[in-house]
Amino acid sequence: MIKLFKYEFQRKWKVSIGLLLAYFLVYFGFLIKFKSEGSYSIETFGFQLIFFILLGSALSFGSIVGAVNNLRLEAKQSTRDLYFSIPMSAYAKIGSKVIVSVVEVFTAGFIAIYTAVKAIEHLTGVTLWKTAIKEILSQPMDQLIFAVVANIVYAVLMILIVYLSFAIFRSFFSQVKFGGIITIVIYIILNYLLVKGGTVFFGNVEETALEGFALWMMLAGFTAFTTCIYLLIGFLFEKRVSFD
Amino acid sequence: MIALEVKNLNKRYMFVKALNDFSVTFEKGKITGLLGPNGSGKSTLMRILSGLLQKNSGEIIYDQPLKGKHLKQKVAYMPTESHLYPWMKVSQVIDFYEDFFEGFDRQKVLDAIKVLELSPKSTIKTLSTGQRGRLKVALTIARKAELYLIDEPLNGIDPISRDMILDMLAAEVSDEKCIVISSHLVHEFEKIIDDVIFIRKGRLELKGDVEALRTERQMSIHDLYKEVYKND
Repeated sequence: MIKLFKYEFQRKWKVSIGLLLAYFLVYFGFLIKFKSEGSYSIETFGFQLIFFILLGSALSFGSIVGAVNNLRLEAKQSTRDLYFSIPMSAYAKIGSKVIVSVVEVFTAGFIAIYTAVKAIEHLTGVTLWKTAIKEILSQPMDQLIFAVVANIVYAVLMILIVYLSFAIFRSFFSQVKFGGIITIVIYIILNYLLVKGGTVFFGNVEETALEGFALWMMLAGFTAFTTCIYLLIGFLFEKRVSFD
Repeated sequence: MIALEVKNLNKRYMFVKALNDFSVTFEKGKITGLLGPNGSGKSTLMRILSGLLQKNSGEIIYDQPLKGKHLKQKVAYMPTESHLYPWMKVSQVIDFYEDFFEGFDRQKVLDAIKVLELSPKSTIKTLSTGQRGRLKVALTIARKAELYLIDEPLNGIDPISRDMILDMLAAEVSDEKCIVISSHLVHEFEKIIDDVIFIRKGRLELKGDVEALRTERQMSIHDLYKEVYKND
């Protein structure tokens, strides 16, 4: 799998550096512009705040598109004949795509949040980042770990649901035209089922009951479900998917 | 020695039957030409044999049980379209093959690209169709496999590159390998193939030893091709 990461990195690094350069060019350009236009306070900080949030969101959105394309393009372009001919299990191939995607999304998300907060700090003089970090670190360690793990599992599941849509399309509808629309429909249905299933399983759990062991058990169940989705995608790519 | 036996293979695309109860055997130690016009089912057969496409029914029996990654190790498939990553340099593609395909003969490709006048520093997207075609063949035959499925290797290729590709393929025959080349450009292939399979509308039309067919029918394979498909 390490070899797969190597080529994923080789494939993506130029585009990623290019996107980050463009992001920081716009970021610093507007930061200097806003700074030269006067001083701000948190109360009078409107448009500038929205601008940096939108800029960060654009970066995060770009990373999500990149994460989706990691598998979408691999399954769609003619290079799929090489990638899916590699004598490795589909589980390893899908696994590497998911890990690269999660790293991509989290890295972009972190840069987006950090730079947006730093821009606000720079323009208003208010200390936000350190305060937020202190506040987070003051939480009990088990809650912190829980939050980190839950967020990672959630991100993995979100990516897997997209990948499952591709796998279902390629397995059962690969000969049908309008593949993009069909994949989106499959994705919407899967999300509906996910929400419906979540309501059925966790809807009756009282919030006050979600503490300690129960909370971890719930996360374990969520992780097991995510693993099942991963195995299902691996199975479909291994046994059912057709590249017409 | 039989490398592969295909029994009653069926593949349907929506309203079209691409393979219709197709049965055939492929032998080791030979180059087999899989001939037929566009849409006859050649590529479909190759993609199913390489594991990239799922069959609807039928049996594929290799000389040993093969599936999953073992199948992909033993079967070297080269598609018609360029399947190489356009952003890679030639040297990176060679590294890629060496990293993933066990027994890949790096030196064989390096020798081949020298003869083919390809620079390891060239990026795939900057190569001409002929250069890509030559590189694809060189990479495929440098793999250590038992079944080589080469799909339309001469499509869009200039005459000089065609000769180079044919020479490379002809030099690969050995007792351990079964090489299947699909094409509708019969004239070029006639000189290097040992067996020929004519496929028509997903069915086996004719199969035989090239020399025996020539003698029996008193015509070249090229002319036989024209006769078989004259009404298509």
